[in-house]
Amino acid sequence: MIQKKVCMIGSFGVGKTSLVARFVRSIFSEKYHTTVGVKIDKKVVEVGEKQVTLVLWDIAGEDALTTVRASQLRGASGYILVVDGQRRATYETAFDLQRRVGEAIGSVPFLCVLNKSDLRERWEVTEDDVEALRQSGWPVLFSSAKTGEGVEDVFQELATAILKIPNVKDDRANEATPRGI
Amino acid sequence: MSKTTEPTKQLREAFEDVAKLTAAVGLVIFERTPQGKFTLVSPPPDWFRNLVPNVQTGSVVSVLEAFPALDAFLPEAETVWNCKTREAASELVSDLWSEVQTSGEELHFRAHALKADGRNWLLLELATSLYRERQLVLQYAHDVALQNDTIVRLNLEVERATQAKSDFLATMSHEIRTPLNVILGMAELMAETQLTEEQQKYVGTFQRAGSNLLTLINDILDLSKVESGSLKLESENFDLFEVAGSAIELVQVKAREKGIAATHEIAPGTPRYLRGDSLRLRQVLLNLLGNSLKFTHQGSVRLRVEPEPDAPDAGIVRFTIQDTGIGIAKDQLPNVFQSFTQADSSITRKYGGTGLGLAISKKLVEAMGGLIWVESTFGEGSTFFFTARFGLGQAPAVALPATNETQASALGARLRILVADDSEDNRFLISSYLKLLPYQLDFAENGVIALEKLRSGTYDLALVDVHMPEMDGYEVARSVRDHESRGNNKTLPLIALTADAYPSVIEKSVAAGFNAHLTKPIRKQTLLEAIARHARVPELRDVTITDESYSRASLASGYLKSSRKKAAEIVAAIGSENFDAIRTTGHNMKGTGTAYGFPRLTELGGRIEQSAMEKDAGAVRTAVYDLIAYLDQITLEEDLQPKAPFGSIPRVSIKNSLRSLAPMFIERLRTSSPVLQDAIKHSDFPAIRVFGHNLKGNGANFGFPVLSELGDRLESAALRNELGPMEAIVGELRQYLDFVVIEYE
Repeated sequence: MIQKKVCMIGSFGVGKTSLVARFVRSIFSEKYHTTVGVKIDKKVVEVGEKQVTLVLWDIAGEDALTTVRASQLRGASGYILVVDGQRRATYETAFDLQRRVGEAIGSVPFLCVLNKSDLRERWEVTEDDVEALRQSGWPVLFSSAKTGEGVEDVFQELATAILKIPNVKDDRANEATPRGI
Repeated sequence: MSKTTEPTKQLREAFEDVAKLTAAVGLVIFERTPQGKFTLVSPPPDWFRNLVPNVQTGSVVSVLEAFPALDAFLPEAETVWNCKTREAASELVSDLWSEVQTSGEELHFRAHALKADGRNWLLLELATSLYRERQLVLQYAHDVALQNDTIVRLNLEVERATQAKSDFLATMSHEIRTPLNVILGMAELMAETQLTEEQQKYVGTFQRAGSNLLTLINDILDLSKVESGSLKLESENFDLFEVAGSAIELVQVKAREKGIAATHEIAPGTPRYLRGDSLRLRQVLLNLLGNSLKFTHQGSVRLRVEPEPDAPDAGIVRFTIQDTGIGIAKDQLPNVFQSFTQADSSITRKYGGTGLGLAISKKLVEAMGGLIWVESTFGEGSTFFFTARFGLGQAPAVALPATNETQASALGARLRILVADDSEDNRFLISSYLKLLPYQLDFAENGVIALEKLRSGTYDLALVDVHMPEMDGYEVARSVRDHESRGNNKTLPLIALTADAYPSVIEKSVAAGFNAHLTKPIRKQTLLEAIARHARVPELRDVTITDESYSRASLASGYLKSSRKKAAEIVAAIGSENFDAIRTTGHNMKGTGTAYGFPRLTELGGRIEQSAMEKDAGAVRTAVYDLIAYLDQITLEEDLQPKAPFGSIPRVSIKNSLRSLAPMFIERLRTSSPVLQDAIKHSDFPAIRVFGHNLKGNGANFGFPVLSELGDRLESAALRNELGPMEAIVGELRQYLDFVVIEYE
C-alpha cells in the first residue's frame, strides 16, 4: 500500500493533535495536552479506487521554546497548516511557517485549516483575513475537531491532491515555488 | 556481528545482566551493521514485541518501518557512526517522539546513536517520564501564553467597549446639547422680555436647571474623555499668576454672597510664566475652590500657590486650597476622589452636585503629572493639595492693541453673515440673538445652498453647522477654501457650529478650513464675541450712521454698564487691598475699551493695572475716580444722527438713578414687541392687558411718558376687548422704539 507522510504544522494550541485524533479515532478531548517532539499516527484513506496510508506527523506547535525543524519535514508529501480562528496571532504565524516549510521541502500540496469553527462568534480571524489567504493562492478549509465538522474533508482533499502528483519527490526538485493544492 | 556470535560464558552472563537491566529501564539496543542494517542485540521487552511482532535477540529489524519518526533522526545519526576518529565514545540523542497505538495509547521514545570501540549502536529508550516532565514544562508555558493572549484580548475588548462608550457619549452629547441649546437660548431670550414676577421665577428655574444639566453633561463628557485617554493636554505659554488670580476672582462673587473671604497668595519664587494647559489647570482650581466654597458657611477659602518643596525641577507647582468648612470624616476620606461619590449620600441631598468634580480633578491632575490629596478635620475644615508639572514658559510680548477689524466689528458696522444650519430652531435662535444688532443675516438650510450663496454673495462671515444634509459643513468649508485658493479671493471667516465638544471634532474643523469652532449650546455672548473677533472688516459701505445707531448704542451701553460695575468692584477691592483682582479688572478693561469704541477706557484700564501691579492704592484710587467721572460724562447719543420719520427725533431725558437701566428697558421692549403682536393676532386680550399695564408703569418709571401713554391705551383697549385700535398703537410703539434717543442729564 502507498504510504504518504503528511505533516501537521501550526502554532501551539491550534488543535493539530485534536484534528488527528478526530480524524483517526473520531474522538475529542476538551483537555489540552501539549505535544512534545513529534507524534506519529496513521490512517488509511481511499482516493478513488486507491488506498493510501497517511502517516501523520503531528509536529509540536511553534512557541517560544520550539521551532519546526527541517529534519522533521523531510520526505513529507503534503502538509496541513492549522490556524486557530480565535487567535489572530496563529494566523500571522501561519504565513511564516508556510514560507519556512516551502524552503525546507519545496512545493508540495498543502492546505490551510481554520480550526475551532464551532466557536465562530469568538473569532479574531475575520472574513477579510480569510479572503487574504485565498488571494495568496492558499486553499482554505474550516474545521472543528470538537464537532468533527470539516475534518474528514481536510485529510481527504490533501490525500487527493497528493495522489494527483505521481512522483512527488522527482517533481519537487524542479519546482522553485511552493504551491497549494 | 562475528564478535558476538560465540560469547564466552562470562560474556553471556554479562549480557543477561544487561538484558535484565535494559528491560527494566525500557531500553532496546540494536547494532548498526556496516551494511546499514539494525540487529537487535538486547532481549525485546513486551512493549517492543507489541510494536514489532516476531522478533528476538539477533533479529534484523526494519526500524524505519516500525518507528517512522526515526526518519528524522537516522541521517543525523550517520554522522556519528561514520566518524573515523577513535576518540572517546560520541553520542547523539534524538528528540522525543510518540507513537500512537491502534488502541489510542501513546508510547514516548527517545533514540541514541552511539559509537563505541569502533562499533555502532542504536538505542531506543522508552521515555515516558521524561516526556511527561517536558510536557508539563511546555504545557505550563503554553497555559501562561494563552492566558496572556486572553488578557490581551480582554484588554482589547475593554478598549473597544470604552471607545464605544466614548462614541455613545459623543453622540448623546450632540443629541442632548442641540435641544438644550434651543431651550437655554429661548430661556435667555424669554428672560429679556417683560415677565410677571411669577413668570420670572419660572424662567429663572428652568434656566438654572438647564445650566445644571449642561454642567452635568460637560462633566460626564470630561470624565469619559479622560478615561478613554482621548483627553489631550495643550502645551502653551500661560501666566500662572493670572490663572490663579482669575480663578479666585470667579469664586469671589459667590463667596461674597455667602459672606466668606476668598483669597489667594503666591509664594515668593513661584515661576510666573509656564507652559502647559492653563484651561485644564483653571478647571481643577475652579472645581476645588467651588467645592470648598460649597461646604464652607463661615470663615474663608484660601488658595496658595508655591513651588513644590524639594521638587527636581522648577516647573512643579503645588496648589493648596484650604477652607474652614464642614470637613470630611476620616472614614470618608478615601472615597472623596471617586466618581459619583460624595463623602456621604446625605450630602448630595443637602448640597447638590454630581460628585464628578473631584474625580475629574484627580484625573486631570494625574494627566498633568501631579498628585492630588486631601487632609481634613471633621467640623473644622479641609485642605486639598495638588501638584502639577509644567514647562517653564516665556513672558508674553506686550499685548497688542485691538485691531481695526475688531473695532469695526464691535462697533457694529453692517456685517453680512450667512447662517447655515439645517435646524430651523437653531436658525431662529441665532437670528434672535443677532436681530438687535446691525447684522444683515442670510440663511441656508443645507450645505449645497450654503455653498451656492457663499459663492454668489458677499459675506463678512459665515456660521456653518457641521452636520447638515446634502453636504456637511466640513465639505462646505473645504470647497470655500479651495475656491478661494484658486481665485485669489479674500479669505472668508468661517465659524463651525457643532454639538460635539471632542478635540478630534475641533481638529477636523480646523483641518477643513474653519477659523473657529463654537460648541452648542451657544450662548449669546459667546456668539457675539466670536463674530466680533473673526468677522471680516466690511468694505466701506453703509458707513453713514443710520437707524442701527440704537443697536450700536445698546452694545456700547451694555459695556458701559459692566464698566460701571467694574469700577465699583475696584473701589471695593482697594479697601481689601486685593491688588490681583484690581490688576485683572484693569487689564480686561485695557484690552476691551478701544474695541467697544472707548479708547479712554483702555487708557484708564492700563493705568489701573499698572498701579495695582505696583500695589499703589493711592494711584489706583485716582485712576478709578477718573474712570467714574468719565463714565458719568458719557452720553450715548454722541455722534449719532438717526433719521427721524416724525421730522424730529424723540429725545428723552433720564433721571440719573435710572440712566444705566433705560437702554436695557428699551432693548427688552424691542425684544418683546413680537410677543405683543402675537397676542393681538390671537386676540389674547388678557395678555395684551398685562403688556399694556406693565408698559404704562415702566414707561413712567424709566422716564418715557410716550410709552406710558401707549401702555395706557393698550390696556384700555384690551379691557374693552377692542382689536380696532391695536394696530395703530403697535405701529406707534414700533416707530417710537426705532427712533428714540436717550439723553442723559
